Parts: sequence; C-alpha cells; structure tokens
Amino acid sequence: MKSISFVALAMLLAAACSDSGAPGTLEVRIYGEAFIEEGIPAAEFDDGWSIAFDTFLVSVGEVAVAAGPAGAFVIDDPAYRIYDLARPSGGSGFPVTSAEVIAGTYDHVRFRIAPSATAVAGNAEADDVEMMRAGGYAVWVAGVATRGGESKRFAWGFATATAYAACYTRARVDGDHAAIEITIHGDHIFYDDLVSSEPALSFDPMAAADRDGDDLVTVEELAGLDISAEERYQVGSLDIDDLWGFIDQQVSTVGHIDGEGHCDTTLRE
Amino acid sequence: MTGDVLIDWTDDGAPLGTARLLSGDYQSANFTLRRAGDSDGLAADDPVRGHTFHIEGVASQAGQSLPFQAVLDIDEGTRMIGALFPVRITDDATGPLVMQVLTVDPFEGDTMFDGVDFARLPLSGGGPRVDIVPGQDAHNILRRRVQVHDHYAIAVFTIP
Repeated sequence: MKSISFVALAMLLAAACSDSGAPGTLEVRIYGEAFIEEGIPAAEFDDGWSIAFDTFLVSVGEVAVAAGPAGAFVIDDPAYRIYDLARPSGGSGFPVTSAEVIAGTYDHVRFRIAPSATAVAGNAEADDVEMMRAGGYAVWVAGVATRGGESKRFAWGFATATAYAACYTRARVDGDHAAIEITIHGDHIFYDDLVSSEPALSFDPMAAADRDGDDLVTVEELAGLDISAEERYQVGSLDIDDLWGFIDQQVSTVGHIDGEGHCDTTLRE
Repeated sequence: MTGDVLIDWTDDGAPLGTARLLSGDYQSANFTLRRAGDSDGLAADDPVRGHTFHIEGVASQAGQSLPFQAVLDIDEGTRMIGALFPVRITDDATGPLVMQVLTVDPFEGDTMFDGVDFARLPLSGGGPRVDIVPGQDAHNILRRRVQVHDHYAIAVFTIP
C-alpha cells in the first residue's frame, strides 16, 4: 500500500509590537467566573443537577507574556501560586503577577497548571496550599451536586500538568494599566464529551458511580465506572475507558484566556 | 496529504496518494474521519455508504465461529490524533510508506474488539450472523476502540 505524507503548515500571525507610547503596568489575573464562585445552576445541566463548589484550588505558574510570538517576555514569572477560585472576587478575579512594561500591545501569554512542591499561596489558605503541595495536585475541586432532594458530595484531586501556550489576547499598555485574565472554566469538569464542539453538562453518570450509596462520589468509584459502552462520553483517539480517566482528561481543558480565548495545550502527567 | 480517501484495509497495497515530506524525525500522524458518500463512487447498496466504518468478519472462540458485520458512525470531522509514525525522513528518501490498522494494540495488547461479547449479540434475521449497528452497546464500544490512536501506524514499506 502506498501512501505518503502529512505536511504540517504553520502560519505565523502578525504580532503587535511595542510603540512610542508611555510605559505602564501589565497585570495577569486569574478568575473562575460565576460558575466557580457562585455555582453552576441546574439550567446548565441536561439532567437537572446543580453544582456548588466549596473549594476550587488551582496551582498556576510559569506565567509569561510577550508582544508577538517571537517577542521577548516582559513578564516571565516562574513561581507557582495556589488560588481558591471559589472565594468571591466581586467579578474581578485575583492578581497573579505584574510588571512595568513599555507601551505596546501584548498578545501572547503562556502559563502552566501543574503540581508544584514549592507553590505558595495566591489567595488560598495555608492548609490548602500544604494539601496541594503534599498531594502533588494541580487542581482540587470539592463541593456538592444537588437535584431536588438528592445531593452528592465530591472532593477530587488532579495531578495532571497542562502547559497552555500561545494564548491570544490583546492587552494594550499606553501609560496606564492593562490586565490579562487567566480564566478557569469549572463547568468543563462536567462535560459529557471530550471531542464534541457542543458537549452537554451532566452529573447523572457521576451520581451513578456512588456504588456504596454514601452520597460521596470518590475517585475510586469514578475509576470503577466503565464508560466504553456509553453513547456519550466520547474520547476521540484517547485510550480512556473509565469515568475518572475521562474527568481527569477534561481538567486539562479548563484553562482559557480573557474569558473564552483559547490556548495551545500540551498535557504532561 | 490532502484529499479524502476510502480505505479498504484488506486490500494490501492500494495507493492512497502521494506527497512530499519535510526531512526530519517523525513521531506521529493525524487524520480525520468522515462518512462515506457520493464522492467515493460507491454503489447505492454499499454497506459503508453513509457510515464511517464497515467491518465484516468472523469471531471465533472455543471452536465456534460467528460471522459478524458492523457499521460504525463517527461524527464528521472527528480527528484521529497520534497514529504511530516513528520514521526518519532524510533529504534523499524516496519510496512508499504504508498506513496500517493494528487490531492488536502493540503497547498494551488489547484489541479493537475488547469488550464486544459476540456470543450475546442477537442474530440478524434468519441467518447465523450478528449485525453491530448504531444504538447497541457493542456499537458504542467498537466505535470507541476504532478511534484509539494506538491502533494505527505509518511505517516505511519494505519488500518482504
């Protein structure tokens, strides 16, 4: 059989560059939006469940910002910080890092959500920071799912390291202050498909995983739920057969930029 | 390589197309799945028409054999990412590459048909054959397995 070749074409987009305006402050913030701070309402789910997060801990670090894909990084902060995005922020999120920069439009961001043994508190409590460091977690979510008189608690830690790069933003600095937002989409944890462009939110399979009926859905119970015969919960070319593996993979998609902006992601265990 | 192809995996040696590769060390390849349609020149009653896969064979166990047929529907445009492609292409490299389907995962030893219990599938009308069709658990299992990247590879063709 003769076949050949997969040629990848890369197109570099034109980048903005610095100009002759006045320097100012460029800040990076992190925000979990209303879905994490206030919860995910039942109307968002296709099975009537709603979610309230008690904690939504994220270990974020290696934040860097540049003007253009080949531009020098004006922010290049290696530190890892742990944030509890379930804490109310009044809609503005929490500060991560900042720098005084020359005037310009800064349009390339990268960051990692990964475990770090040296992470420090962003806004998280000291006990939570220690738990994340000791447990080797990148993300930790705890809360309750509710539907009518039913409720299921969950507390799940994820060790998956994800590098987000080439996040496209347009932060303009000209003698003033500009902010870039790392946005965390907490609803992705409850998506029912890894490949669909329009996945639904669902909690029924997670509730069904509670085999011992103690109303606490554990990692072990999720890992014991085979999804291979499900019409939903498609995984594309990934070799994932259980619900925990599915959710763990889904966690690598939570990072965004400035709300709905996307990044190139690389997953590392 | 651009363009749509319909691959008969049992037809060893059928050309799929040509292209020029950049020299370098390759590790993996991607392709996109689709539904077979009018552009494939299929007969009106071809079983793969309107579907992504048509698999026909015989499942055997403990001396018993059961013919089966499966038609699998995968969303148009679904990408298969990470087929094995451990090949070094040099500046003067020529010759064919082969695209392979690996029914047995070379890393983990699992097969494309793991989880499909042929003995429990209903026989199709009148004949000793089972049909795996959309809506069945077996279809969902098989549809998932055929998309796993470990089941595909591209290798340099060598004359036996």
